[in-house]
Parts: sequence; C-alpha cells; structure tokens
Amino acid sequence: MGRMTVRFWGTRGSIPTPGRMTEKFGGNTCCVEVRAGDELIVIDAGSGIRELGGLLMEEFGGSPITASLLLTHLHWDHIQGFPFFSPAYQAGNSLVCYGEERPNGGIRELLGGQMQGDYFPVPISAMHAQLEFRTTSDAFRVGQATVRTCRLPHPGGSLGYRVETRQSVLVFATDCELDQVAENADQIEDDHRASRRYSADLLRFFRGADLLVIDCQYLDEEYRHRQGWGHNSVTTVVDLCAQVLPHMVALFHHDPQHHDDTVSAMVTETARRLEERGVRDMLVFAAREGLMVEVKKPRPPVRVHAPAVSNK
Amino acid sequence: MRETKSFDPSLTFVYGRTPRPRARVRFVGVLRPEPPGAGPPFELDGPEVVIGRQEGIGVHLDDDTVSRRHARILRSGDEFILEDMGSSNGTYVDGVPVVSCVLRPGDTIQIGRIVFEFEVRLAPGTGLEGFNPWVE
Repeated sequence: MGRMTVRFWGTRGSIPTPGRMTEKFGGNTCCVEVRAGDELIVIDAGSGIRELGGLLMEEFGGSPITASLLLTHLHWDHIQGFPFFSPAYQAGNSLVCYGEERPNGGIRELLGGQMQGDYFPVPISAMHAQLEFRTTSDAFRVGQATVRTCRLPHPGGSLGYRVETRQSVLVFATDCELDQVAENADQIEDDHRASRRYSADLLRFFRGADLLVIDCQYLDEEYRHRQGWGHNSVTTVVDLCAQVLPHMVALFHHDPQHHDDTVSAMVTETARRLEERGVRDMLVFAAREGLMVEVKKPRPPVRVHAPAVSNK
Repeated sequence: MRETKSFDPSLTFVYGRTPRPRARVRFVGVLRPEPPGAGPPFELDGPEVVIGRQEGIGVHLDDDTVSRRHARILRSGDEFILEDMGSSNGTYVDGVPVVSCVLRPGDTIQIGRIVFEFEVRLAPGTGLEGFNPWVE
C-alpha cells in the first residue's frame, strides 16, 4: 500500500466566494481528493470538484478513471459541482457514490434533481460513466483502505468519514456542530469553554488520526448567534483536538463571510489555545485550495537559526 | 427550443478543463529570501524551476540542509505550484510540510533552513493595448 495524500480542491462552506479576500484559502465549496495507494477517493462534490475533474481527465489521458465519491450529505455546497465533473460524462469511467439514505429519495434521484431542466441544461442521464450509488451508514472497503462512517450533528444529518490504511488515518468531519451531542450540553451552554463530554463511540471515531479535517466555521462570538446552524466554533475544535490528539488538524468549511485574515487568525487562535491546554506536537493549519499533504505524522522544519557551531 | 436529446457528452469537457493561457505571461513569480536583505530575489523564469543544492539548477542553495534537487516550482497558466521532490528535510509552506501547493502571494516557503517569501508581480499591460472597443 502506497502513501496516503490529501489535496484540497474546495474548502469554503455554504456558497462559492471568489475574490481577492479569499485568495489564499480559496473560494470553492467542499471537495477533497484522497489518494490511498492506487485508490482515488473524492470527498464531496462542491464547486471545487470541477477543477479536479479537469485534472483527472488530463492525468488519465483517456484511460479509464475509477473513483469513489464519498458524500457527507447533500446540502448544496457539497453537491453543486457534481454536474460539472467531467469524468462522469465519459463512457468507460466508473464512479461509485456513497452517502446516507435520505428520506426524500435515493442519492441518484437527489443528485439528478439539481440537473433537471429548470436548474441545469444537461440531465444526469447524459453522464455515461458507470455510476453506482450505495447508501451506507457503516464501514466499507475501498481497495485496501477501510472507510468508517459516523453520523454527525448537522441539520438533516451529515456523515463523517474515517479512511484508514495500514500506515495512515484520515478523519474527515465537515458540517458538524459537536456541541449538540455533548453529554454536558447544559454546562457548556453556561460556560462555552468548559470541556465537552462525548460518547465513547464518537471519540473512537476521531481518535488516532494523522490528519483531522474538521468543520471550524465560526469564531466563538459568531457561534453565539449561530447555534443550531450545524457548524463548530473555534472552542469546540480546540476542545475536541485536546481530547483526541490528531497529529495534524486542518480547519475546514471556512465561512463565506471570512476573509483570509480571519481564517489565519482562527488558525493562530486554535494553536495558541491548544498550547495553553498543554497539547504538544500537533500541527494546526487551515485547509486551502491547491494544498496537498501526506497523511502521516509530520516532521517539524529544520530550525532556521541553527545553534552556534562549537569549536573545531 | 433545442432539446438536450442530441447532447454530446464529450462537449461537456469544457466544464472540467480550465484553459491555461500560454501565449502571454502577465505574472512573474519571485522568491524573496527572508529576512529582508538576506540575498537577492530569484525570479521564476520558465515552466519549471528546480530548487536545490546542485550547482547549475534554477535556484541554487549552498546549504547542507537542502537536498541536491529539493523542490521545484511549476508554472501552470497564472499559477505557480511548489512540489517537494522527495527531499530529506521537507518543503514547507507557512510551516506546513507539503507534497505540493499552489502558491499565493505572501506565502512563506522553507527549503531546509532557507526561508523565502513568495511574491507575484503583475507585468504591465492588459493585452488590450491599441484595441478599440468601439465597433465603428
């Protein structure tokens, strides 16, 4: 099994936000490419998937593309790029879409719904790749990788995905408001910085990650006015990371109102408060479009100011 | 009104491929050594610039924390993509070890113990010099 890498194609929540103020971290909505050895896994089909599709067409140069698309849920910012995913139109390619069973229809019907004539000129029936739709709420395998799921608190529900190989563990948990499932909700309602108590199952899902990609949409002061909207605050992310200790944490699902400076400030705040909590050896960064990292324990950079050389 | 029944899926590739203009270079990438004054800036010239300890390559860094061919910067249209080349000490953008990263102005790049700030200069001109938009 080769190494696992993650590349971010869309990191923004809610709606695409192009422009100079979002240039650094990107304005495309959620899409992440995971390579686990020879396996190609795509998580979510926000607007970022359009560029990924183009790159895959170039990379494979007409050879068949086989991919698994893991859908966390079907809110617009997670599926709006699907009609623009070129490989799905090419006969000979194969795409297996995973997602949670929905009360309003199957995944195919719901994805295809946004391609009906009133919304989009090209119907899903024009996608000539072999499309397969699997509902899941449990573990499954993609090649040699094991994928586990966890239902996360979000309006309408959302799935977290944990992708494991022998060498690497990726936990992807966007669109979640973990405070909603804290067992001491009353206490954190009174004191937002109180440590959360979560179920053993939830903690098991998050523990041991080399890379945790986590919804961190709101500043604490924003969260006060956004409770129930389905997204985490900085404090919630700090507290989770202090409990489950990933090697790397990537803040994700950036608020469309947040400029690059705000996202940068959320990173420094998260890192500072983790340090205050006594956490060591954790790399905190914000997911940004065009960034590819290897999913493993990171090594700090060489010190810029080398210690003085002793006498020869 | 046209129906989509005669729709040719191959035509949809236009949705996926973002054309990368090659004819005209309007952006110039620059690696500026940090701290300011630490050395002359390197202009990124050409589709691929290799950074490393090996003499004669694009950006030569004479430092034993730098691998012989440490990283490279690929140019794709108006984007500059930094890729680690399997270096011993890693390639970092804003402190994050990267396999690759599309660079943005203001990014801090660390190669071994050498630090740069990435800049983009916009070459003058709009591509419309001498063009009269009024169809007379």
